[in-house]
Amino acid sequence: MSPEDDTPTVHHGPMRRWGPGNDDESMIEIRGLTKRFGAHTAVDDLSFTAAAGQVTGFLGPNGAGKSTTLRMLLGLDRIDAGTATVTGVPYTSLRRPGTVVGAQLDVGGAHPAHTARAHLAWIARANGLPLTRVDEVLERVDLTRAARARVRTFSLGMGQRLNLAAALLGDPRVVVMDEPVNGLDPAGIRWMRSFTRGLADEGRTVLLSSHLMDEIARIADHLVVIDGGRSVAQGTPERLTDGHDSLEDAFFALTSEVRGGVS
Amino acid sequence: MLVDVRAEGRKLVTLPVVPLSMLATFVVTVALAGIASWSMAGLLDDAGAGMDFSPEDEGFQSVHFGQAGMVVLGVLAVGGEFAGNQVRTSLLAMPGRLRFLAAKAAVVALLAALTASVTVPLAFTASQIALGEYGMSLSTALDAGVLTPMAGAVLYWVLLALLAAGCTVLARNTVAPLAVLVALVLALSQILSMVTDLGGLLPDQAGSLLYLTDKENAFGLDAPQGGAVMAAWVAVVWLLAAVRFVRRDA
Ligand SMILES: Nc1ncnc2c1ncn2[C@@H]1O[C@H](COP(=O)(O)OP(=O)(O)OP(=O)(O)O)[C@@H](O)[C@H]1O
Ligand SMILES: [Mg+2]
Repeated sequence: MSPEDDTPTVHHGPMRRWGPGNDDESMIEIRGLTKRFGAHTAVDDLSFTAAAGQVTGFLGPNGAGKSTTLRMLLGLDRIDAGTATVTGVPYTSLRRPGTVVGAQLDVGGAHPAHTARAHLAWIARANGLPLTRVDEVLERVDLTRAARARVRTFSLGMGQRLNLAAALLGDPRVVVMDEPVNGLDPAGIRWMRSFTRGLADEGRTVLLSSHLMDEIARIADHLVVIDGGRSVAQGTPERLTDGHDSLEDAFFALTSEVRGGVS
Repeated sequence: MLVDVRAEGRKLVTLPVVPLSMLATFVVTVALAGIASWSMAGLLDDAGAGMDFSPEDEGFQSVHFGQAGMVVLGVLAVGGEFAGNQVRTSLLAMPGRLRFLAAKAAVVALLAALTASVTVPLAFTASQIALGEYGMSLSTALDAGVLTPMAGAVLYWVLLALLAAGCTVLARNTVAPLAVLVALVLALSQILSMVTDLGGLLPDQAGSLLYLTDKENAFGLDAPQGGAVMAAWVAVVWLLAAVRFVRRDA
């Protein structure tokens, strides 16, 4: 199950200092993570890891707490309890975070009046990257022709790819994606699927959230399934699907058990 | 920090509305200076010598109206973060929230200083030229020490842009701070200071003492004291904004 020791690395720059209990195989580590919104606990004592060279699918229905978990991991939401680290350290302590972690969150994140290139250019600058990277990532996500178009004119799929381009600017070894196939047409989904797989095959750690379980089960090496903010299952797609027609069936079987057990 | 400031600067100047607001501030203020002083010259022609008139203060009248441009600049520079949820990307790139705010404030101050230091002297000059025989020549203006209130006016514009930016961090939207601050600096603070002496401590009333040398102030503040009162407003607003911004979820 664990990948070879000589995991291919495509990233540049110095190796990071690994925290205790961390090695190349658990680049993302979530421990006892908890988030409350008032009386509602959106993420509840959640723990999991994501390893290098793998696609870790982070699955759960709407409102399960996937986005909230990723936002805490990325320092956007305050953590109420527990820890979330990337390469052994909290995201917020990274000096040039874009060169370590690329984050593609759901649609939005760019000023509508910016051109794609202007948007990527300031992000590149903030991470100390040369502007030549901008055209490289635009090329990589197939947006070269839209480089001078304003973000407000972008379709949903183009917006997703722009955010992906932003995530890849710093050639990060860890890539976090929230619902990357949301709103994409079949061709877009196919493209995103092979793209994501490619990122992991290059040795990167890919953590990818979705409510489209079977879509993700096809490309993921490891799955973390949550419901109501709690982990309900973790393991390989084969193991989790075992005995069911699809991962979705397995999920409903699992959650009805959990719910049955609680209430 | 320098990296952050440069990234922030690039972000803002590539947003069309930011350079546009700077340019509009310049054009409108200088044009207004010329037009207003030209009509003032006409009034003086009619009134003869009987009118109480200071060509120096006349040269700063358009600075009073042009200040609305600094409110627009400050509000848009921050308000843009809440358009399209850009703030999320900003915090991903600069997770240190205070560092992000500091970079933002630095860029707002730089852009305002750039706009003001071109606009204020040229508006003053346009005003003197339009005043014709009633205007000051370059040498009389320099002899009268006009450079001090000019620097004061530039500082005032910078502080005002910072105040607007800080209010927008607090408000997290564009419309409310824009409406309130434009109304305040163009009319409301004037009215309030007629109602109560405390109006003289409003940021723009106190701050305008930096360049309006013979303006009345209920507290007898001089120019540096007026500037200090305004700077205190800016500091308090940014302090509140920073506390709120650091604590909450992005
Ligand atoms: N800012 C907020 N204030 C209050 N409640 C929130 C907030 N953000 C999220 N929640 C709640 O937290 C829970 C988890 O939301 P979250 O967005 O993390 O789910 P998700 O798994 O990403 O769902 P989806 O598949 O719909 O994206 C939901 O019940 C949601 O209503
Ligand atoms: Mg979500």
